Amino acid sequence: MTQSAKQTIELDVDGEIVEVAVRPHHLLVDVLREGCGRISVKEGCESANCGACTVLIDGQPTLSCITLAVDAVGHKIRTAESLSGPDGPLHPLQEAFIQNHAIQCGFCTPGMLLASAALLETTPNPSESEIRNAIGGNLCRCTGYVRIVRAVGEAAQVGQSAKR
Amino acid sequence: MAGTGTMSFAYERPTDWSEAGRLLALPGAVAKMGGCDVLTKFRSGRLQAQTVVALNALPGVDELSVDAGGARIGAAVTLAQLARRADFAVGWPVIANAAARIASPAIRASATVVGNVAQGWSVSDLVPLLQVCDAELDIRGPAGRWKMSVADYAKTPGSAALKPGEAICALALKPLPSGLRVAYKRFSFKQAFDLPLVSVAVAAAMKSGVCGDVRVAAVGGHAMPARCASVEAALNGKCLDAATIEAVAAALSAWADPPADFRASAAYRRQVLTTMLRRALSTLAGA
Repeated sequence: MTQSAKQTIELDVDGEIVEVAVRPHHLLVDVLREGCGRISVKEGCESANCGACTVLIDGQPTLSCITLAVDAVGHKIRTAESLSGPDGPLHPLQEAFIQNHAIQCGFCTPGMLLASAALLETTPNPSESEIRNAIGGNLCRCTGYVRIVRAVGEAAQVGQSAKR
Repeated sequence: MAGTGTMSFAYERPTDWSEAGRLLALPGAVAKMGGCDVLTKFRSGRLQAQTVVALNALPGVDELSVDAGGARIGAAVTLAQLARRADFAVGWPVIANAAARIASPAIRASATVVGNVAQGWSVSDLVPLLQVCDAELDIRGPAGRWKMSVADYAKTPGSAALKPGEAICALALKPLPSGLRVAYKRFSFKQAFDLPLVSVAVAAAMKSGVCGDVRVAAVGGHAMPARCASVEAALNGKCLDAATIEAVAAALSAWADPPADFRASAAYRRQVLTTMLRRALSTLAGA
């Protein structure tokens, strides 16, 4: 089969405009990893079941494994790389994940962090059930959910007390 | 991008409906909106498409209007957008509640209400509810516009109900008759992010304890979500007492010819279906 022609697109990734050459069927997960250097974006199940590839598009959690790269043009994409700079302080969620040992193999962590970040932006003081719902599409195959839920709750509390 | 799928396709984003109709009529054309279904098929090598036609840029697809005449949900409206609309939840609280719980936040941000119907799956949370609420699809194609009920669309899998070049542009709901109560009960193996194994939607108007205007739809009773006429007949005009509930459950059990697969046997589905029906009737009685 003949391939559709490559086209150059501009993606807004973590506030940086990245120019990449893609074909229409190229998926955002691959373009973010290979074309934009965002290797925090993980590809787990390849079937929209695990949430490891979660990124934020215009603030909404989105599965980059079933999003075409060309469809992300004109939208703000956020990956876990944006949560803290190379030398800057960690994001409160990252800090809370470390403090609570909420990371085992780490493969689900970027997706968990972004799903939680999206929750805290709209719901700064979530209940445990709201936290569980927010990460309901993110699988942790190490099954470390109790500590993840605890970490998100703790990060929310830190965020709340920082405002006082 | 080495890891990206194996099959290439052309990608079109028409901005007017006549162009969309022309593209969708091409051999091997597949319509895409949120992309959850189309791109999941693509990932697993099950998408036989030469051209993927995105419907997102077409006029009218973003419309979400709620007024005295009912609700109109354009083809691009996502589950998350519908779930956020407080005015929709006033008229159709059970549908709003179901839309807010389907799959996961990331899926709900991409998946569309119309896509939920359009994909023509054997299981769905919205389809049985839309069936008992008499929802209609607004279809556009080379031959013009026409309407089709969700109940009729869901009789065949996938988009078999559409002719080449046709697409669903919106879903319309008329206001529910005043006094009509709706209940929905579903069973799935996981609390989060799981399709229903079986589910039952029931609507009825209750006057002095007597059920009228009864509508029942079930998922998992047959190959596709369907209205259950014999179950509706068993409940219409009856009081919701123990004898009626037994008779209605027996009618559902007799109506069902459930599929059997790796998830559950036919007998298991039939048993759980009657349990969901009893729970829905109990909610209806208490509402």
